[in-house]
Amino acid sequence: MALPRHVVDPNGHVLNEEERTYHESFMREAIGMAELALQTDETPVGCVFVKDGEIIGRGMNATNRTLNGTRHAEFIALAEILSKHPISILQETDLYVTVEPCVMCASALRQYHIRAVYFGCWNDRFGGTGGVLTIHSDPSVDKPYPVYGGIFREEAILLLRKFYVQENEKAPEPKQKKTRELKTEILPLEMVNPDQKAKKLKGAKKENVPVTTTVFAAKETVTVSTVTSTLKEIVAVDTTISTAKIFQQEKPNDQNPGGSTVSVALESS
Amino acid sequence: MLPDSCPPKGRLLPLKTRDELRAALETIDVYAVEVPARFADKVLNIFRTTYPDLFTNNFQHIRRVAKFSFLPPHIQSNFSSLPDLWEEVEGLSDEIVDEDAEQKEKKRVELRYVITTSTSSLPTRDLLQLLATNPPFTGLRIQPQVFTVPIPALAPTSAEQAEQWSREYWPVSYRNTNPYGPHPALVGRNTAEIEDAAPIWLHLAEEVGEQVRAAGYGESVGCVITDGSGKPEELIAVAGDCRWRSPNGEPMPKEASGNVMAHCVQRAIAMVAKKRLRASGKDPETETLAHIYSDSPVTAMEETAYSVDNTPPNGYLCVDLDIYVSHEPCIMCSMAILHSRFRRCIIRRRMPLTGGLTAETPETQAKGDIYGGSRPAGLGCGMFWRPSELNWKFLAWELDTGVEKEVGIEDTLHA
Ligand SMILES: [Zn+2]
Ligand SMILES: [Zn+2]
Repeated sequence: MALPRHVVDPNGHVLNEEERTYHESFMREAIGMAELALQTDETPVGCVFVKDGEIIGRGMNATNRTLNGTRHAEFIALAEILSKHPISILQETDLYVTVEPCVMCASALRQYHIRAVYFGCWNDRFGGTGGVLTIHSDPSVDKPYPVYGGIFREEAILLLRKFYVQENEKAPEPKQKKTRELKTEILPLEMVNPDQKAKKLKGAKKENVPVTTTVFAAKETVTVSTVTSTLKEIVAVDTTISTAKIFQQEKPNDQNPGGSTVSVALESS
Repeated sequence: MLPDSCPPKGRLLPLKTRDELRAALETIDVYAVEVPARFADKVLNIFRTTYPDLFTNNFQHIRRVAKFSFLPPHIQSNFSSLPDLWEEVEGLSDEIVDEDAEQKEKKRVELRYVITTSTSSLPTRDLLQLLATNPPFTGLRIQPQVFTVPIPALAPTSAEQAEQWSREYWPVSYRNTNPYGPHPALVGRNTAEIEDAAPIWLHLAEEVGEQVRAAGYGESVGCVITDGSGKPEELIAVAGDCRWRSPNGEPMPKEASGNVMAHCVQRAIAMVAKKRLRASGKDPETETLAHIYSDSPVTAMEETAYSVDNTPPNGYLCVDLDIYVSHEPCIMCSMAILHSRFRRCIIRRRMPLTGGLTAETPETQAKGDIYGGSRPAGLGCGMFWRPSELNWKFLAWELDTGVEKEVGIEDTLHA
């Protein structure tokens, strides 16, 4: 889907084609991993870790195969990286993942001192970098990391929808089948007051947040019916996916005295 | 440092939820009107008929009509009550005009304080006017006394809390319910079920932590997974921390956070998954890079628990299982417990700087521990019970031994 996109620096300067293409190329690789997951009946979430422009690890969700609810794409890729590299390499590494990291992965990434996280669509069920909690920036003993969302958001959502339709087709109950039709229309983004979203999601204001990720998001409910299979419970995302567009800002604070601002705005029209 | 040589003695304290703690912080200013006892209900009724919209159910936990003597001392001293004046006024009435001094003393006017509504919902002058034009104030030279008092905005979640609020704010009543967390009856039942064995499991968790530390594989943090749904209780998995264990299985230099994915909770969950694969006749060793997670036993104790086939073949993740952890799990591990659908979690010690389960924050603890005891402030995540935000919830306790034992690990460590 060719969409006008603007990646903007702190001064409102639109980043060049090359810089934009850079991030999109890795997200495309992550989507490839998610597609692979879909083919093997795993929740289609995929990721790649990138250091100096090179992919050093790939992962896709493996919770069904392993019967382990913690085998998320990020964990699979991290195992590959740690089998070849010292742990410290992660400090110079960025993650590209099709769905926002969950609370567990968001915390793991922070403890590993990941450099930055780029993701596709939001995870309203247990997202850890803004979707539900803000583990990447909450007060913690570890350094915060910046997150950028909304890169190939539509593609990421579509993959998840395909998965739910696919799972529904396997569901034994015929009454489930009437809702299995794949919806391909994805609602355009809407501007929402980020404070309202933050309040709605967290029920409380955040204080002393060293890195503020400002989210302009529209909540979209995917209407594909829920899956009856218990396997659905393992999945890393729910059918409710919030679509999002992000401005990422770093404010001056103790851990980041100078402060810096980088904004990424992905617009669909 | 060695763990106790025998299981710790103590009692299980249910962890407070975020909502409970936040509810406890909220107060609301209300009007309290001073009237002789026999007029209390009348005043309340007049208010109800005049302002039916303001007569909400929000004050069900508050004694709307309170005796002076039941009020907290600091409230009593703020109320410039006028018993003598009322005495005089009441004394003019026909009922007691002929009585002698002794009887009059017996009939001494009992005052009541009536909670009408919140100060934000009605201007004071409107309330004063309503009172002045109705009994007992009609035609009296005595002015209605209206006081502003703060009361807890929400219902108490325990009897102790109700008692404390009654001492601090206003007489409060407690109904055996908890809108901000698990129902007290449910908690009570579960506490009774696990309290005898919990110190033993926690002791085992500490022991395996000490073993992996001694082996150089990790920090002195450990956990035990049990199946408490049947009798006898089954030991399902035991795991210690392996963050300092290299991919080739050797101790490695302690740099930064080590291998985060090898925290004991992660390892134990992986062992349960592998036992389930084995029980369903599948090969548990198909993950080619599984050794990175240290998901196989590294101590004899771990091996003993792992080798027993006692997971039902049709089981699902960690549903119906309990997890005992020597230290409050970090946010990653707390979420792993949620993802795995555990039933109950019991911790030995809090980790205020890194723990994901407890809900206390400096803000909630600013006025001292509202539940008594001494629960330290932490990050306030309270991840075990956030049903409106996260996808699962479970019951959680800490073991209170009364003595603060040295933690044995850095307080900045992620357990
Ligand atoms: Zn995850
Ligand atoms: Zn942990």
